Amino acid sequence: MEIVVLVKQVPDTNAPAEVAGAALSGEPADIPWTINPHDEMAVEEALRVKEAHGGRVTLLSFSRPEEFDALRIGIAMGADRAVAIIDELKSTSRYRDGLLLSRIFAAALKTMRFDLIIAGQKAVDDDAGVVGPALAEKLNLPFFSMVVGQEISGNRVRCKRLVGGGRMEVEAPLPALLLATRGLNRPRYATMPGLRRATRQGVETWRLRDIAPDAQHLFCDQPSRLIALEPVESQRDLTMARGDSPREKAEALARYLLSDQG
Amino acid sequence: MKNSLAVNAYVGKPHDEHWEYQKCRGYTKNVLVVARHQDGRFKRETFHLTSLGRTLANATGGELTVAVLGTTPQCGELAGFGADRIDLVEDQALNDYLVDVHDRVLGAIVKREKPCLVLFEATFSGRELAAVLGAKFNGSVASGCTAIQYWDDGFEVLRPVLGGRFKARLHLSALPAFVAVRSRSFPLCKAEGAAKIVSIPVKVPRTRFKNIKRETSGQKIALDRADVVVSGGRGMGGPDFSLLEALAELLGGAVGASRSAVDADWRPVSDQVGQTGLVVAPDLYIACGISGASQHMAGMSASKRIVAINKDSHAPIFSKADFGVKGDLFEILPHAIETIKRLRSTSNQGATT
Repeated sequence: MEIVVLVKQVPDTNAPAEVAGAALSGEPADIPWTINPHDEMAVEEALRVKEAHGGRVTLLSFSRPEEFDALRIGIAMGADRAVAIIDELKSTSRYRDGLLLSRIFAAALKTMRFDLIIAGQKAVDDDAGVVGPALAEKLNLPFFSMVVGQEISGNRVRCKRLVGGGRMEVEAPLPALLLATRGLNRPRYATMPGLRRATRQGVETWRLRDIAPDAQHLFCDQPSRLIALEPVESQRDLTMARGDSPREKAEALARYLLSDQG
Repeated sequence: MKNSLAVNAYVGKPHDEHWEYQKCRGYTKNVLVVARHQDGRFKRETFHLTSLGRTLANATGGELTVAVLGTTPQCGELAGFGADRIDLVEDQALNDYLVDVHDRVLGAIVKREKPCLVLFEATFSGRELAAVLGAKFNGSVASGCTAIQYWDDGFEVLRPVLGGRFKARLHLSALPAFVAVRSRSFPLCKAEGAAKIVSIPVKVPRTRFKNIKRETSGQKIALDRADVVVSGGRGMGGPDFSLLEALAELLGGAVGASRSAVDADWRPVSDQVGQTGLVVAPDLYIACGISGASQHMAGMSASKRIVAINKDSHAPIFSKADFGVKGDLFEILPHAIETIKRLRSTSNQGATT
């Protein structure tokens, strides 16, 4: 079973907002980076599929060399191989259009063998969730979003997914694309020996022209561009419930909640 | 300044040329809205979306079409919010959402109507349909938008990123633009007139998925749509959320949880509010025993009003709340629930006498 996992590096979700914002807009920022949490679950699930059915797990990313930490974490978790398509696009921002990425990944995947693609439901920095569905469309694959469980038997995959107001269980033939979300698994930790292996093994790098001869033409035009990032200021004036006893405070709370209800 | 930036960023592509280019590809200035209905009734959000579509069609100078998939009466209602035309694909098979069936039917409608903009609601299905159709038509996509504006050289949207701590201002230059909006961010606009209802002859394809089973969750109100959310965190001390459930029931809301409560297996992952879980923006958010880690704040800071109940007066959640109660939630909440019931019954008595 050849499994490809799409991986993205994002600002740590606990990073201070200004720093994370600066990083997304392309300014150099001293920031803790991490693997996108949904992608981490995708890596974990790929490793579980490999453990159950054999095969190989390849990580695929579109990134700059300074964004390889996510790939190293994936290798340290147990992935066999990491491939980075080097970001040669001239944008200064780290914001990357999801449709453009799906075109790039589709071109790369057409040069690879795969039975299963797993990606995170969305990246927690741009919060877009475009790449997965768009890639499935480009490759004409069945895809499952919001996956919280999977079972492969023969050449079919059966997935449990969250849908608005409940759950759904569906089945489709392989190759297919799965989008991992919270609840699918608990990712294993990257171990120290794993991290050492990741450093030793390194990341395979591809150029855009390696995956598509007319790369410049294919990928030069971004369908959407980031014009500005505007911090959301939440101006709130805190009122504390008055009173000495819990009962008095509860009364104040109840009155506040009811006034709020109109 | 920001608006002029939006225009200046695209010098070298004068608007007429842009439209000429789009017209070569055959796109019109029309706007298409994708309606959503359940049990024969349109969702309230669809009316908001239609109203927004009307405003944008006025801006582009085009017509507004609403696509209705599945069997539903009352299509005429959409005219009351400004629809010029309703494209109806009446087929039982479309009542339940399956991405590969819906994308192909909508694809056929987009091919036929050639709109420059297609609007969806920012639900799971709306977001993924926007992405799939964006890829199909080589257009552009933006999800979860809270503002959208038409410029001569495309559309500009605002969408929350980094868990709602920032808004990204994006320019969508490739048409058609497939945009999923948080439709309740936009006002309802009543209109007069009758929309032309057109039955669209699309053959509904069969799904590629097999063995489809659906089950509904226990929550009466979906967490991401609730007007009131009562969430519990580490301070709950265990899986008993019955107090929060009682309060949510009383206020007509839903129950959420912080990551630590979910990690402790006190609540299912589908209840998690935060940057790695659901991002919610209800009218009222009540955080019980939640310290206010930035991961959690990113998932709820857009709420209109935030109430925090915590033992620790230094908990960061208080710095982001409108109303705070320092104390033990297990002592506070039972009294609060009792008081709400008492105050409500007194005011009801007052109203009837």
